[in-house]
Amino acid sequence: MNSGHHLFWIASRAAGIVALLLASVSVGVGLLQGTRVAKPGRDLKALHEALSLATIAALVIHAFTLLGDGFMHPNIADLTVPFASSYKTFWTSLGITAGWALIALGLSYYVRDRIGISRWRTLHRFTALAWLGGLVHSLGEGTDSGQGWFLVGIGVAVLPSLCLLVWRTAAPTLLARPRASLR
Amino acid sequence: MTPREIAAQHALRRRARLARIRKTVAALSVCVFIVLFAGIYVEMAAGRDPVLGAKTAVTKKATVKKKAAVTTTATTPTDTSSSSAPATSQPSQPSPVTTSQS
Repeated sequence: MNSGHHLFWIASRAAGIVALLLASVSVGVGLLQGTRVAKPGRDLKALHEALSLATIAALVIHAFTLLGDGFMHPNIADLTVPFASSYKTFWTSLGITAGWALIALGLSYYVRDRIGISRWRTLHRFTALAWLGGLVHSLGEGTDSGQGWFLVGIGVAVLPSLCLLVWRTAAPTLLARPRASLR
Repeated sequence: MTPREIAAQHALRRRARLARIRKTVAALSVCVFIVLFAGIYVEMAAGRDPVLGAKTAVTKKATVKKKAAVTTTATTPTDTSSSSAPATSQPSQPSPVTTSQS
């Protein structure tokens, strides 16, 4: 089998996995700050920002390297518009939607003053949803999703962030309980 | 050292730290990408790709099945014929025809 014919496809697969890993770590670092598990500081903030930008770069590579794929021959609309591609339409559309959401929500940081800080914070919470969308896209459509190495690697990156997300979501309820019982 | 100089030094150090974080993230991302690219490339070259490898296996299986079917159908007539007949018996040749021209 000639792997040389599939270089673009291999690059897209590798970039997709990198994007998912980076997004998972970025969400984890963001939640570390949000849940006050780690002391919020400039270093964590810078790390979160760098990881987000790297995620966006990896997402762009993941999508646009497929333009060179000789098997699928997708056009730009197939890769950027949900439900435009006939290839595994649901999973592809989910990935496209999650990708756009990650890019838009990530870059919204630079216009947060215009949006308004509190409104931006509310919006920023949807990043976790976009990340979960990307995760489901990779498990549903990813070529390597059935591979042991993929599942282990993704599990190592995803599970801590997922735990933090659950904790963050449940924390207000957990914190409210003792108060309620005191009353 | 004036307070302004101290602040400038702090800012400089902070900028250097941020640049180091960005460079580390970028370098790590590129490294992971290269490792994954190489890994997938090698797996594909070895015919163990989850998609293309599976197709090859299916094709091989189908070919083997086809071959087996061909062998069975080829051997069936000899099995049904008399046991004394050799398995490699040649089909009967037509008798030579002698023609004469006037």
